[in-house]
Amino acid sequence: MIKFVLMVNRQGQTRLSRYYESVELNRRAALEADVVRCCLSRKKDQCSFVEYKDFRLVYRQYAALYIVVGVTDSENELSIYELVHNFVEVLDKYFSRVVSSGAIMFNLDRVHVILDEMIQNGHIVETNKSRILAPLTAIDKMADG
Amino acid sequence: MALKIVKGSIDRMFDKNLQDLVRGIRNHKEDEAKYISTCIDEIKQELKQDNIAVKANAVCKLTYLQMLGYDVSWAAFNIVEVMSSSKFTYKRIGYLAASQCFHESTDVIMLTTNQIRKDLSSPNQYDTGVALTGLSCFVTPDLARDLANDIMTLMSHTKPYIRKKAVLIMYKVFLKYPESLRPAFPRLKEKLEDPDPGVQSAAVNVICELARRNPKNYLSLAPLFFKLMTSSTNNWVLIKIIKLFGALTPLEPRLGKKLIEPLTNLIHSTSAMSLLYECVNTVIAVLISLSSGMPNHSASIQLCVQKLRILIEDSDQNLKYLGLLAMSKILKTHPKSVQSHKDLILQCLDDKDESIRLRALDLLYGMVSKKNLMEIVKKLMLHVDKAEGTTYRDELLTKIIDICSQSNYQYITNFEWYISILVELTRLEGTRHGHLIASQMLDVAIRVKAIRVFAVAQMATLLDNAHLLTGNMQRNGICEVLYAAAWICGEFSEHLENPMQTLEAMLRPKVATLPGHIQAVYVQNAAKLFATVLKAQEGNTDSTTAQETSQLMIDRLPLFVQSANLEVQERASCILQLVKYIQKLQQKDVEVAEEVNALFAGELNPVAPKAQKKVPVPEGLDLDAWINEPPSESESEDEQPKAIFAKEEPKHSRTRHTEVDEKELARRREARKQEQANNPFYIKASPSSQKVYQDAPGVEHIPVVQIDLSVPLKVPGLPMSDQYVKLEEERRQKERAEKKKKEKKKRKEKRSGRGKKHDSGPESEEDITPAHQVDIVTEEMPENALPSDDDDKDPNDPHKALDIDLDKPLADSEKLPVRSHRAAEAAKSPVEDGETENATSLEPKKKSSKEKREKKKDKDRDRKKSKEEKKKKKHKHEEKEEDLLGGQADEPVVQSEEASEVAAPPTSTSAEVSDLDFWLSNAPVPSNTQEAATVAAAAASEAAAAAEAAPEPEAPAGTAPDSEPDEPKDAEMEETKSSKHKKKKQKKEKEEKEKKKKKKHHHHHHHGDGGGEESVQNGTVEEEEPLPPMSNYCLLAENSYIKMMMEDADQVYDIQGNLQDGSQVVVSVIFENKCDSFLKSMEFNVLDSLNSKLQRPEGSGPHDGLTVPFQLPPGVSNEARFVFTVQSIVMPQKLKGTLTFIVKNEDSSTHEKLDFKLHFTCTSYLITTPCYSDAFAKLLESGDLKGSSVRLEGVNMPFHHLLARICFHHHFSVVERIDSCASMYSRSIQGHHVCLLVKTSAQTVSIDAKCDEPTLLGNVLDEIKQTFSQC
Repeated sequence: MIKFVLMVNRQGQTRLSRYYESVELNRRAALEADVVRCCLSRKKDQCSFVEYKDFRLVYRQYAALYIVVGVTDSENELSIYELVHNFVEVLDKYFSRVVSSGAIMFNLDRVHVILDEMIQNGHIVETNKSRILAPLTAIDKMADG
Repeated sequence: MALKIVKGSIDRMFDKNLQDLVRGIRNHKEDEAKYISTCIDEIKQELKQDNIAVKANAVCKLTYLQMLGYDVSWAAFNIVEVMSSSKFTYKRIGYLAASQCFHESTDVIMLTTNQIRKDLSSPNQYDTGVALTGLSCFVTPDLARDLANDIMTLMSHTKPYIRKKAVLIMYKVFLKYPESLRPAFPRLKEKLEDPDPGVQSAAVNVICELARRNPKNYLSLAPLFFKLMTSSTNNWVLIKIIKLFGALTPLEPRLGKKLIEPLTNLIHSTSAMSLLYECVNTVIAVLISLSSGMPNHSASIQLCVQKLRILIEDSDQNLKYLGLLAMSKILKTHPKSVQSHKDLILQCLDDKDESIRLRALDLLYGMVSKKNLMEIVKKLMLHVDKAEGTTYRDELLTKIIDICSQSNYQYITNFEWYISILVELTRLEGTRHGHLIASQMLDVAIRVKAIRVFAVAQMATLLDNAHLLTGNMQRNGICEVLYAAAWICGEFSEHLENPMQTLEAMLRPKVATLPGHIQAVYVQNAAKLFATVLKAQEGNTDSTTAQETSQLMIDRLPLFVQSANLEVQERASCILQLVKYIQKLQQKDVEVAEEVNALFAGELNPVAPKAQKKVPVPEGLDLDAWINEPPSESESEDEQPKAIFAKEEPKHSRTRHTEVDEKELARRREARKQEQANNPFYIKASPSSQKVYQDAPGVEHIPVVQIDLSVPLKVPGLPMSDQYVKLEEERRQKERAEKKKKEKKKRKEKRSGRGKKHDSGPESEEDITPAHQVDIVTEEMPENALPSDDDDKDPNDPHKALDIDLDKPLADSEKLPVRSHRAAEAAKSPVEDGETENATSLEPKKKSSKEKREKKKDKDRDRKKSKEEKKKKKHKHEEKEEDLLGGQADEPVVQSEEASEVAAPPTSTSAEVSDLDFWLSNAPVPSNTQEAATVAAAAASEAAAAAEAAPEPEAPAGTAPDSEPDEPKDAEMEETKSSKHKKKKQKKEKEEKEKKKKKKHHHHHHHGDGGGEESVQNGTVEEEEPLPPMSNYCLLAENSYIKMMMEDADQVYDIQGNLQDGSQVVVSVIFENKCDSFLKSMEFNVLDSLNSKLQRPEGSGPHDGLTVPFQLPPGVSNEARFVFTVQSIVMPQKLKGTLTFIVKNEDSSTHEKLDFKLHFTCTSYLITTPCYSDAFAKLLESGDLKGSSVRLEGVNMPFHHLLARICFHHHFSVVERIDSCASMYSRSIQGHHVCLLVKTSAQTVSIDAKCDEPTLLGNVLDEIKQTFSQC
């Protein structure tokens, strides 16, 4: 099961966070800081899986943007690793350019919609790009019309 | 004017949206907190506005602030307001905020129940979707209870988008409201076979998650999952299912046996690394659960290890990491297979990635043997020297100690070497693990008696050079070893060469800088040393040495008496007084040594860490009962300190040991000896090895002398462990030589007898004898120790509540709560929609009760068919013709028309279990062949393909690191549909009376075909051979390597109901490897015609073949599906095709090909579609249909057989049957209606048919005729 998805920039600032297990607000900040430190301190040639406390982190770096996913032991790390890439591809497709943390911040709600289409209560629901984007395009049409 | 200001401010506020907020925070880096607090004030103002757009904007900004860590719980009510907006754009923002901010204790949640319910039943699918997504984040037990029924209804929604979300959220609902699990489970199970792959995958997700926690309740689903596993091509789903099997196998070993083969096939065939990794993991788990009695699975283990080796050798660090991780799992049960890859693991120790090095270290732990321990540790020691960063070095240190000490020092043959390793480790700077080294030193010195002399000498040197360890404050952790050194030197002081010198070292003023607990040990052991010195000097006429020693003690101890540490102070002053007294006695020339030594007499036995806990409570002893009357309140204050003192006393008072009388000691010794005899790890003294070590005159390598001379010492007096490695090597060699000599001698003696060869072979584990008489004393346990190991489960685990028996029939009371005060229409409509659409019938809304029942039956049948089929198989012998109606009517029925409907047909538990037993008891065959065996044909047209032997370089399977698990594809959608379809046919098949007989016949046939008819020429198709009854697989082509069986192309689907695009046909082909070689790189190609085209992936040309997505190990078969686009369906078609593949032997690989012809009959474009008699009548009356008829002569079979055949082979359904007359209906994929009226009299069957496309009808009738002409 996926516990959370984090997007952070190179400075360690959270750009998006989504928790699939309720974590108290004041503990979130500490957890995020710790998790981010764990991942940012790793070099490029190190593998993308980190054992962290009682669960695992799977992270991927895209330029200045880090995507960190916390998963339980029962999850297949490689599939999560691919999921992250899939997510970024969807973002790329929707924002039709290289994803930057700015694009994410300014469209936080839309990124959330994308994420919600892909992951629901900690499980992968959809990986097909066009199906993921279908609700979002519907929303955009609604907003235009 | 005022109005203008107000309006302006509104505009301004309205303008500040999320983007402005983000930019604003960026521009106020210095005073971010202040800026945000003004923003929050603004937001509060905005929330007071009536305008919902303003509110939504404010809530959107709050969501961002919440993410930054600001508490926004004060706005919870506003969030609910925005959630209830009728405009989706705002509603979405509200739900997003709620899902981010709400948690179980948010009190406004209870206000949302009705709003959510309304959204769930909204006609807009996105309203429902957003509500479901939001709900999954903040569902509470109350919400779960109130909405469970609504969500369950949504599981049958017409839109797959809603269905999949509803299915997934049910997991959360189960967790919060466990009572809902049983009522909802039948429907959830149904969703495993949903036509939409997304919904299917959601259901798999939920059930996997449930089953992982309480596997035993889901064991009965194993056959279903097994089918899914062998049919699904969605890697995400496969991973989940395979994971689930990993959880189930420990409960049912037979399942494991069944799994091995399909899993190994997957391992062979998949190119997705994630799937490969999962398969390997599960195979390992399965093999662990089987553990014993599966000798032939060493091949599977080998396969796993080989694949893992590929992962580890990959340049991708992620694969390397996971490979090592999985390898460590194999290691636990099959260490031998991993040990052969030692080189690789050792290589990983040099990896630049620390986490990979750590994984490799974990592996090394299990790979050591007596033979390689020294070598591995030597390598690790090198790494310790090289290592940068203390964490990794500390990890190395603990691993070295773990590796050496595992299983009671099982692998250590030379303890001198081990002690010197420990001593070398003390030179590590800044390690935190001083205490670990110390405890090892203590343990070894106490338990290995033979090593004490050596250990004491080493420890004495350590004490002498204590300044090297303590000199740097950074090295503080390491001074713990001095604790051990001091204790060992004191306790075993009789082995000290120069106790006086050590005593002096222990009483140096510098010692006072050590931590208190170490000083305390120093002081205590100084006293022991003192006693030893006295004893040594006893009988010596010159008493000056003894007196000097006393003086030394008296001079130095006051330093410790002043210590701030209470323990040190107490011990020092006590001993100081004692020594002073002794000195007095010495001056009077009184012999004191005896008495002083008595203070420290007695043997220390190691006690197991848990021993105290395991002492059984003697009968009749109540530990809670008062021994004396409880003391009065006033006394208690005085009593307490005394109690503490009394408790601590035994820890230090060693005199107690002397009180034990000799008898008792003897008894204990006896008991210990017995225990040692039973202990497999107890290394018994072998007289021969001792001889080697001691009685080897003339050998120059007598250890001790040489060490002192030749080893360059980094710390004065400390030997290098390397030296021991060398010595050990030599010792072993010598031993071997000696053994050979002995053998030679023996052989010489025997030579006269027979010339039997007696090769000693390579050195085996057992041959290595320990260098010493090693006496590893086992840790003591109390007698009758209770073998209790408390496994306490977390009582707070929410999954505990979900441990519910799902096979028990539902009771009436078990229904999900349904609202009674609201009209049920809103919740009802989706169900009805779903039904009408799913049924795709022309059914009018008002149904007669009979129809209703029939329809229910249909549904029911769908759900139960697989199970029933199994049952049927089982009870073949007692199977009788069963009136379908009658048989089904017995089954309780789902009342799906009502909103309150929750119950599913009860299934008898015993039947379920026996089904599972039956399924499991089958020989482990991959299900594809199994499936094929039940339905497959054996039309035995053989094809001798022209095989051109052309050696081909081995094409490596793609192991691209970025191989991505497949996305769910449209093809899958069809696939699931088609499998459903197929089952319908199987159902029909079941209706056959003489099934048993036919089955036999069919099996017979199946076996027969492999044999003779090799002469039949290539390209013959199914019609030439009599079809075994009711099979829909026919032989496509076959040669000595491979057999292709095609399911007649009946699985025809029109994907989106869009007829202009032409229709799609899915063809399932079973490939069976008939030879002993591995078949790979299979490519399937068909020569397209104008009308029919093989669908190829984007970008490939019209003549490119399709790669078959698997490889075939010998004897294995697998199924692949190919999609064709067909323009016109009124005419049958034949397509020529070729299969090319590589036959891979151990030493060669050849390129082979096989030609075949695909035959698409017109029947195959028909879909079995139910139709009701009134609709049928209307259709005939409409006059749009053109008629045609056909007569069949000499049909010699019962009427219902005839009907069943038409149904099965030609995809019709019976509309109505009256005596020997029946009306039948079917529909083509392009929507043509085909109606039949079948009449029979004597042996003549007349079929009057009507259809809106005469050509199609003509062809279908021809095909029907052909079917019966073959009988």
